[in-house]
Amino acid sequence: MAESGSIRSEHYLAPETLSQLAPFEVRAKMIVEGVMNGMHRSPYQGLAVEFAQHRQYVPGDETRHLDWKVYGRTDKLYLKQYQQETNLDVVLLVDASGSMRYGSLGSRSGWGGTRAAETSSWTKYDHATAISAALAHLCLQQRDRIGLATFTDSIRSQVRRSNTREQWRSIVRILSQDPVDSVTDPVKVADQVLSTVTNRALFFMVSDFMCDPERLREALARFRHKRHDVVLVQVLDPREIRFDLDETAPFVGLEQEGSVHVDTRSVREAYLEVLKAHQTELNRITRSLGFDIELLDSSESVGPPLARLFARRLAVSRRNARG
Amino acid sequence: MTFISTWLAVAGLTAVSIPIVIHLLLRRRRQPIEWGAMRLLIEAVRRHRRRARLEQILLLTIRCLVVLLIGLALAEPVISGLRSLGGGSRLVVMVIDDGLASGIRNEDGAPELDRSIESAAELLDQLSPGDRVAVVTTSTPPRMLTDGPSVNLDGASRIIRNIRPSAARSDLDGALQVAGRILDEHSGSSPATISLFGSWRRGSLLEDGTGGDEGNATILGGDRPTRLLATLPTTEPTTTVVVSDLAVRRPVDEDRGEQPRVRISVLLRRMGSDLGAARSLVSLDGPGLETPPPRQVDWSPGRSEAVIEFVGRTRDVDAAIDGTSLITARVDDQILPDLSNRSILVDTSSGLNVGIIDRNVFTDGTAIEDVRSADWIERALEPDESGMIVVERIDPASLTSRVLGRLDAVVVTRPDLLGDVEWPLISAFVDRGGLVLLAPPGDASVHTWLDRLEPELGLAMDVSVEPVGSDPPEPLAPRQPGGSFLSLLGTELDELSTPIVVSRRLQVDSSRGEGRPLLVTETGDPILIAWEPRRSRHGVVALLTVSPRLDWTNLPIKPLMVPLLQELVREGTSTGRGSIEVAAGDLPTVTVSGSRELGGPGERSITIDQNGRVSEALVRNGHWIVRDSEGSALSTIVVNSEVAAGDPVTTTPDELTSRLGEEAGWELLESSELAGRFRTEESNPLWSLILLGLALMLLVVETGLNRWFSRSRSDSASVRTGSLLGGTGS
Repeated sequence: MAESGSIRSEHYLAPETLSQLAPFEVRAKMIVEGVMNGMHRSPYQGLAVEFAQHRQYVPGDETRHLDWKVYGRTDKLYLKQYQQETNLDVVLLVDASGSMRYGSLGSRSGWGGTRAAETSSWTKYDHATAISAALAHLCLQQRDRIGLATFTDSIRSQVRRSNTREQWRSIVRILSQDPVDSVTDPVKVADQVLSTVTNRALFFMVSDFMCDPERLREALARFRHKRHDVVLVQVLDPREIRFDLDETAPFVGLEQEGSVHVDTRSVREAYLEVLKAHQTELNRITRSLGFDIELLDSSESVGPPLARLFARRLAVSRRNARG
Repeated sequence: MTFISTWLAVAGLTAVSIPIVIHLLLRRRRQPIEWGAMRLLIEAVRRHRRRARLEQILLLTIRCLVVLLIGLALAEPVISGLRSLGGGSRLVVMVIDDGLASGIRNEDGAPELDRSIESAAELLDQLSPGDRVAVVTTSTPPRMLTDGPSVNLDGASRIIRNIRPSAARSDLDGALQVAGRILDEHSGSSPATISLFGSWRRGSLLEDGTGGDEGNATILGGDRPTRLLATLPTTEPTTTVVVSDLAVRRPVDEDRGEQPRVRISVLLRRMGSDLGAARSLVSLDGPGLETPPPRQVDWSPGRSEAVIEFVGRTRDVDAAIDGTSLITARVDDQILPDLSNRSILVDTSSGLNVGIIDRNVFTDGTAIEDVRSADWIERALEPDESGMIVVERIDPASLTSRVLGRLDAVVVTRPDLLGDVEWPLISAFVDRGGLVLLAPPGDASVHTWLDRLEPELGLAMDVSVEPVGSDPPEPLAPRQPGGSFLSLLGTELDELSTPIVVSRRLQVDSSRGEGRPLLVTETGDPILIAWEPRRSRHGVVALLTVSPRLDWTNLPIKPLMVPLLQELVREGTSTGRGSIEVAAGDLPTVTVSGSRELGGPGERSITIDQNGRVSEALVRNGHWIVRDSEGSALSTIVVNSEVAAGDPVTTTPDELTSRLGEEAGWELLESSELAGRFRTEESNPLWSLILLGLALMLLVVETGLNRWFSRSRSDSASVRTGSLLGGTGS
């Protein structure tokens, strides 16, 4: 277990992860309210310092926003529109349920992780903490306020949103807690989180999402109802993705699902069918609510998929800005 | 327990470890695996189960077939053996004719039994492990040689090859009864077969007169599936000359003062289908006989019997037991050795002590009518001083056990003088093996002493105490019963009896008891009755119903008187001593007190129980010595084969079928064909190869299907995995 005094960024932030994330900014797809200057677009246009665009004057517009220089050159009336820079509230929701304890990989030096020092396996929770730490670090660099909540069937621990220098350590300290053997209840978690977040925020929900998709849809609907933005970062172990086992053995669930005797070779096809159906359903739900979802293989670096996610979100943001 | 192949059994035992090792390996790998995506896995298992069940059933079926085919390929010989009889072990009762006729030699000098043995061995070779075999022989007494039906075919083969021709007759019915009992006790639901092996000459098919169908009835009883097979009768003709009978007669006119002469008649018989001209040589030998020169017999075509008369003198030899000695007649024919010689016991004792119990009366007795019965008897027994019989006169009052102890025979001419003390002495004398001849006192008109015979001596008969007279005197019958006691007189008995007349006699009806008339009148009334020894009475008791006096009969002055009394005394004392002649295969009862053991040819020894019964049948010809517990010889038993049992005339299949019982459904087969009925399909390597090939083909199919199932899953799974990783995001 990493103590607070001995926490080093490289435990949670692999240098390769940070280097791959550096060119991108974390931008919310939706415009969020900020109390501090930041890199995010403010809904209070016309008052901020940064020029946004021109538009033709129509009767009723305030004349103080007319751009006289353009009128002088073109003899046409245009209004100057400004975009206010705001700060972003980001909340990391990290799944600490029993299923996140699964890992088939050996730990890698420099990857960080909560239990890497104890066990030789790199669990999904380890990967989730790495992702969360990276996101927290990135946000804090942008002076965005960031908070954290670990959850199972309810909120287990949380760190209030802040952009102080100590925030990252606080987040990492919470992440260092072991996952517990419990099931996931996204609806209850959503209710608890939303009761503490009043302003609109960007939520990164990091989980394997081995829960009932319908319950997840109900939870996400609550976020949507509060006009929050949610990015689902799904972490799966490569063995869970490929199911390339050659065993005939009893499999025991980590969330009290019981035991089932499985010949992996014969069940593999059916398993992958079920997994694909599950992923399809997750994608359908997130798309229907306008959210993002990204599947991360715990055997791969955190950076590329996050970079891919942010690139996609930036493209969408610019498309919206043009529209 | 036997195995087809030892290395196969070892391999099988080793193979047992394979599933154990697999089980241990699999158990080690079957540690529970913690799994995160359990919800998906449970759903996957549920979906997979239906399709997997079909695949597993298909693969399981193929794998079972593979194992089955390999098993069949390895076990094909056994399976085919079972298949030939519809499964289950077979029970085969092999009845082998080892009776007298089986000893008939063929041209090579080997007994025909050897052929039967070879046929039986050939059958054994066709049996499979697990089949059970019982071996029964037909010679009297029929018996099972194996210890019940045995799966030890090698042991049965050894037993069969040790069978030798017996001197006893074949008891086919008895053998079939033994076989039937074996089936009753051991066949259960197994297919059972009785196989008869023999040459089936006429001698082997003799009926014992007790009902020839008993054996068949036993076999056919119940509802078991019994096959009845028999070898066909031999068709090879053969002819043999046998010693059919041997009679020793003592001529009446024998010279006095020398060893007695005997006239020995050897009856030769030619048996068989070829009665052409032939020549035989007959000889006599024996320690009690001055050996006469051999005699030659020229057989004219068609002649089947010949009687050769030898006249010789007996010798008083030390080797003689209880006064008897063995004489053997031999013929130079080796077709059936057990019938080419025959033995007989002859009394060669040098002297007998006979006591005449009568009151000493001193009369001049010059008139022949006044000569008393005791005097006639004394003169008949001891005609001169050099006779072999020494007579002693004993007054009834001086009769003691000590006096009787030195006597071989007692003639009681005054039984009316015997009282309560003397009768028990006489009874004890008979018990010890002595001969007692009773004659009525000539002067008595009422013979109340007759009432003592049944209580004192056990002689049951109806008799009138008053004699009956005949006027004119009644002659004796022209043909007399004679019997064994007078057998040495032969046909002379009838001639000598002719002049005898009886004017007075006791009226005796001996039919109620066991007495046998030896001499009878023309009307059949007995003049001389003899009671042969029973177990309770070792000696012989004879009763003259006439007093040997001229006022009763003219017997005393006729030539019959001397040989009659002499032979009666000789044979009576000999019989009482216990020397007897029996047929091979008999279980005789030895009547000699103290007998414990029989020593026979070839150092054979047979025990005798306290009731005189021998523990096993005497199946070897020759003489057997009866010994007491200390090994002292007491008497002799001569064993000869029955001539009819060696009849070599061939029989037809119909005769054999008729003898065995036509309704029984016997199947007559050649030896090789009979063995072929038991032939299991031989282990055919081609079948094994075909089965192994099929197993291999199924293995390939199984492997292909298994891979196909796995590959189809893997291929589709790979595709799905790829699409899964590339298909996320909004």
